[in-house]
Amino acid sequence: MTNKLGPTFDVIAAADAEPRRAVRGSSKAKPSPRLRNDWRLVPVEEVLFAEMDHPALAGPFADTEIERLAAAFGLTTDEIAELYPRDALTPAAAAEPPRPRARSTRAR
Amino acid sequence: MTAFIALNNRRGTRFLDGTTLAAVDAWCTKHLGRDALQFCQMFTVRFSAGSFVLKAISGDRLLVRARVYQAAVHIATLALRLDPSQRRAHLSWFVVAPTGRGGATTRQLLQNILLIERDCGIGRMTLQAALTHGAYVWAVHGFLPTTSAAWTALAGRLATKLATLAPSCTTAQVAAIQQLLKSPDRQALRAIAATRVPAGGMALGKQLLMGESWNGELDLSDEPSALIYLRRIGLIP
Repeated sequence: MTNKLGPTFDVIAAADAEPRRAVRGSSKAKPSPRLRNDWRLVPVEEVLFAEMDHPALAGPFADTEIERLAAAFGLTTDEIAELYPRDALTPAAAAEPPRPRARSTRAR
Repeated sequence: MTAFIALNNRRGTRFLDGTTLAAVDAWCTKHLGRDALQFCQMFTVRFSAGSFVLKAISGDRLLVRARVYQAAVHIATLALRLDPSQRRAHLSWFVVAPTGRGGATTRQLLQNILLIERDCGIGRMTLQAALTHGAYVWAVHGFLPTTSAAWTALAGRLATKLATLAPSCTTAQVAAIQQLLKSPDRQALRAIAATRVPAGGMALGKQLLMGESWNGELDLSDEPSALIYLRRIGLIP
């Protein structure tokens, strides 16, 4: 994931956007979304990493997988408790409840 | 030398060109059971549009570079190589735009790729787990070092890093991690990535793996690895 690729398909890339009308050079003209985004592309690793903070995905592995690994490597109960403490994570059910959605109309 | 395909799933429009389009089409028909356009449609299911550069090499491998769009905005660019004769797919490049972050965009793309790989008979995915978070992220997604030697080399680096983190851990924790690092079994990486002990503001396993680099593979015929990956990309709860 370290090789940087150049733009692959510039001509066709804009095919899904509305045809842009010719506009005289204006300082208020915005660049196309494609150009605006390109410099901010981030590796998928960082995106996946950020998503791991989601309560539903808290904890990299399920308890069953940890038990399987512990058995495979001969970890004792004490070692399991040291490395994989159950209270180190917030279960999804106990996580902060979702914020209520804002009203779309003014309250009366 | 390449085939170009652009399709807009919303409008039902498509563009196909390139000197090797016939070869790519033949590759897709042979290995996927569908034509090249259907390959691109599978790749962009649940997305608005995509543009592809495709190239068949030696009749066996297909190089894919894809740009994926949602609501007319570019959200991701991927490059991968499909090699059905070796039953292997290599993910070489995957970047996401701000609009594609969060939500299920990334996972949906990984799901689409997995379904294509399944239909091509591919049972092994490879990549380089690197960059800032990659070494940890791909371990948590079920990937393992490609060889025992690669794991041994990585374990040596992790042991050095553990020495610097040892003051923030208990003696028992350090001893248990050292025991895992001495194991020749590649799955010790998974056991380390799973650790929940806090060290330096994050889990010890995460702290150890951050910034590391290793060549990884996911063997989909290995049930524990496959289950971890399927759960991570949202195909199973």
